[in-house]
Amino acid sequence: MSLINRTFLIFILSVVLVVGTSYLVQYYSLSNQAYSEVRKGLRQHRQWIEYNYTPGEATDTALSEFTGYTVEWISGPCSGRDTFFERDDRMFMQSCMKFRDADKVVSISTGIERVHNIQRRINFVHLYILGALLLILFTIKQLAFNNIWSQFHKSLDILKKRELHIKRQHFPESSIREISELNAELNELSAFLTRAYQSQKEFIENLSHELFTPISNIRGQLELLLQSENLEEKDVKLIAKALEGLERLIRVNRALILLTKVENRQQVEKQTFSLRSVMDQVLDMFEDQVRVHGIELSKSITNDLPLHANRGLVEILLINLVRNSIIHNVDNGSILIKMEGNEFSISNTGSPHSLKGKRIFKRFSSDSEDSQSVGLGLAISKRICAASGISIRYDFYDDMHRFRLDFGTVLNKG
Amino acid sequence: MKILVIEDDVEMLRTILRYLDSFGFVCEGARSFADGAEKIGTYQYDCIVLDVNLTDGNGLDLIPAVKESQEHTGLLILSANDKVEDRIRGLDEGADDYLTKPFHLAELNARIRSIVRRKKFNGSNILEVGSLKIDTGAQEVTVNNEKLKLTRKEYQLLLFLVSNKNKVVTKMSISEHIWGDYIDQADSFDFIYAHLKNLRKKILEKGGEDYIQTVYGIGYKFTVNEPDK
Repeated sequence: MSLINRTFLIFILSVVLVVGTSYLVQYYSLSNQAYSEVRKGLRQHRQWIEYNYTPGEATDTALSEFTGYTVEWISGPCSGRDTFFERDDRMFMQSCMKFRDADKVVSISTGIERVHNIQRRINFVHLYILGALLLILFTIKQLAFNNIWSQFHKSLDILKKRELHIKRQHFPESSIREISELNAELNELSAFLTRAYQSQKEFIENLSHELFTPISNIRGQLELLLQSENLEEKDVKLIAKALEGLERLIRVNRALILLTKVENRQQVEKQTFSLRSVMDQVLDMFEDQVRVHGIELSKSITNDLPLHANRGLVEILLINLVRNSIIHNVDNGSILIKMEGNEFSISNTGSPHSLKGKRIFKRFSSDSEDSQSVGLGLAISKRICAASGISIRYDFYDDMHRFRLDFGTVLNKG
Repeated sequence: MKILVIEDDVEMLRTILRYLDSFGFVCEGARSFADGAEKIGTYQYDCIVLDVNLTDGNGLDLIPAVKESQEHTGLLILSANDKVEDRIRGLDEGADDYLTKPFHLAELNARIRSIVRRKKFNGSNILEVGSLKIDTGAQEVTVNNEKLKLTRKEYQLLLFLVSNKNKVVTKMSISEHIWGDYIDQADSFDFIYAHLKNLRKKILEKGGEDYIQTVYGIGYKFTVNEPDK
């Protein structure tokens, strides 16, 4: 529930409570007072009858003519107490009167429209007050929503883009102090994040440059050393080990730089191309590798996917997934590639257990002991997907590890 | 063949020059933008290797000078980080090829030779090594005037080894040359072995010699005892 609605609800409840209490108090106290006056009148009239009435005289009807009270005699046994009841807008009192020769029951009644009028008036006044208050509250809510909260939502919308760190965002000044303060802080935060992000980017760029030079030199020098005439086998093997280690260093470095690049959302130029063409190109790249492991590669393509995205990134994405499906496969295993609707999926046989759901997309989380796999492939894939608006999911289906890509948001609709 | 290498890192420059020197190329080095600009204005080269990140300037800014004074010179750009913009700008302004650090010396050498072939002979150049003749234009190889039927990868492999003849060429550099960065290297070493076996067989069948030696599991060497033609 939004803050405004919750506040509104509390106001409504309070208004209903206050108006309701006032209604109940007034309704009952005023009705009671009116009723007790009516009852008092009825009792006074009975006393008046006691003084002025003599049984046998034919003046029964006259007893009520001038006073607004109707009097009837009822034959029947006398009960000790007066009883009151209401019927057809009239209040009746039945009472026992003792005369010398016999006891008689008298029923005296009078109209009580006045009492009902009072009650109706109380009803009306309270309904009117309640309605007016609710209307005022609702108007205030609308105004507050449009004016005050729209400023808040403007800031929220900027935040939702999650680009505070990419470039300095401008949160406007506001006539409302709290929002103004919030926006001022957010402006500061954005400036701070932009600086931090920028320096991080620069740091990684510098780092890559600084690392690449010595790495390049070491590799060049080792390769030169390898050309020496008088090397023995054990020397060559040492150089080979050093070169292998260096190779791994280079791979990690290259992967980290790519990851940073994707995270920085560089390379955002988009092209129009078919996913199938990229897939064929990638599969061609791995043709030898698939064959040498005796992997059975099958494709089930219902439709091609025309995309509007960065071709380079999509290519790296597919390379990572295909490479993964080969490295983590078993000999004579199988790979199934499917394209259907907006979805591309690649399944492969491999370890008989599902991979750990959330961890697999993290850096350096590799289940395999294989020193070649750097463990960055899936992290890169995930980043590419996030940066391009492609959704990627992993599941273990039909004894196969399956990665599914939904290209729905990057289809070329031209 | 005369080559100029403009590279501000002394160690790197020395390594590159030593490797290229050993093929009998005439190599010169320039250690700064200014030094490079002066040499470009003074001498003619067959190929210039240009580092983008120079301490006293952007290597790409030297391209116009090269284009102006050295019409038939090949130009190879080196960069430490694989910035797409640098590559696009370099190629747009007339560089012939682009190589990202860290690179293998064998790859650098193969690229330089390829550029020079393209520039000088419009891509068609006959390389003669031993009894082999490689027509890089038609991508055809003959042994004792008999044509070899090679697959695309066998051809690439042979040309790469021949470009670096009498040098130990590591399996890693071959793998990267043929399959790029992405393939699993452990696997690619098996493919190299398989392709080489076929290649050797095909050369031997036509009466060629066994030029390709295995070097202690680290790589291969195309050995032929004759000067560069």
